Amino acid sequence: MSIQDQPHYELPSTELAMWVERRGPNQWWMVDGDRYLGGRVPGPCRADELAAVLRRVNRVLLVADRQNRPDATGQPITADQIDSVVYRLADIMGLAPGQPEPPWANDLCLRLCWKGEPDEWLLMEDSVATEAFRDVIIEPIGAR
Amino acid sequence: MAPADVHEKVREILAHTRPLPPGADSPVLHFAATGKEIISALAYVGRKAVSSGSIPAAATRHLGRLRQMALVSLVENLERFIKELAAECVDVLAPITADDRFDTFRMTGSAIAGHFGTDTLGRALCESGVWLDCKSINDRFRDLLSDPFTSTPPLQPFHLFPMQPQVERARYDTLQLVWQLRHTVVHNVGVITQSDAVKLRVLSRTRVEPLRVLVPTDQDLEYLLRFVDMTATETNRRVAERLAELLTRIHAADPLLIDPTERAGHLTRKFRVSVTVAGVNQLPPP
Repeated sequence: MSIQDQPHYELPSTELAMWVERRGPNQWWMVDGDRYLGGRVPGPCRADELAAVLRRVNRVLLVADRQNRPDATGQPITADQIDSVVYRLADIMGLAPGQPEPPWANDLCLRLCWKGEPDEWLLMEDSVATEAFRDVIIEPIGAR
Repeated sequence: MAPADVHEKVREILAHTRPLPPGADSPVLHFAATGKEIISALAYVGRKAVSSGSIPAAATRHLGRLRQMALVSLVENLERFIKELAAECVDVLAPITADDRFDTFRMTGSAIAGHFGTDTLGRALCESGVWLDCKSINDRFRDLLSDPFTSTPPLQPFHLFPMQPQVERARYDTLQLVWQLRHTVVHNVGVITQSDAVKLRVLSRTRVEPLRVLVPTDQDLEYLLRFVDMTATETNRRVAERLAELLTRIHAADPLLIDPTERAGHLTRKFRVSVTVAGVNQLPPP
């Protein structure tokens, strides 16, 4: 079932950029499954690299509502409201009963698609990259 | 029951394909998206192995093998990118130059046959070769992007991977190591042979123990991906700027030979950077 057929909201990519930046400059991100963004940001990417591309593309996204609210029928939301729709990565991947939570369990994850396109993709925090690049200076890679 | 026709079954692999993804006609977009797919696929399997409660020792062993494969894929993604860059250069310059810049490319009979009826001279010349050492890559691009004029002050020779200044030398040295790491995994299934160890020691300037198996970690691959991303972005920009410079010179000598607006637009679409051809500047589309 596509995102359009589930409870969802409209989200301008510029608002998503703002939310990404609020998660902190040292947080790294991974785009999983979108060829458009995937070709334009490094992978994984820094918050500022991702935010710059999201602002430049300036398109509208559809974001699936984690809470599955029946009245979520494509109303626009802003950066301030994204926290209410975001998943934990452990919820997306599914933990077997009794499994201890892995280190990436609380990585935030959004289920997204571009408005007018059917293919769903994920934007997720990347704790492996965040840890790998924690105490080092990594120069930003120019936008494509 | 009939015996299995393994020969036929191997041939059936060729029937299992899917279309090229959007953006595949731009080398740098194609490169970036593929690199991301490789790491995402590995991360997905790794998370699933953890979340589903698999046997830790088995998961560690299998993921180790998958990380080896991911290492190779990341390096070969860079190799393909470099070939696609070169193919773009050929396609841009072949119609408007008549010198010996393409002599460095050997064209097989099958490549000649494949070229007829299409506009893929660049791919025909570049696809089949091996582009896995900095010297041969530099030699090819130096010839490919050489200055067609000798009467005007000449352009400096072009090096895709220069050895100066120090920051570029560091990239060159690391890239040589990357090619050798790929060799170790591809040709020896990850075993560091005696000869591999000698080469890796020289290239890395660290102690490398032979007759051990290379088992890259997730963090190793994060850094490798970052390195090849940085390398591809920088080389893409430099090739685009060099092509723009050559087209500008060619246009100055013969204004009827190229349309600067059309060529600038072509370069920005392919290379995704801003270029200026004969005074015409274009920005890449979003």
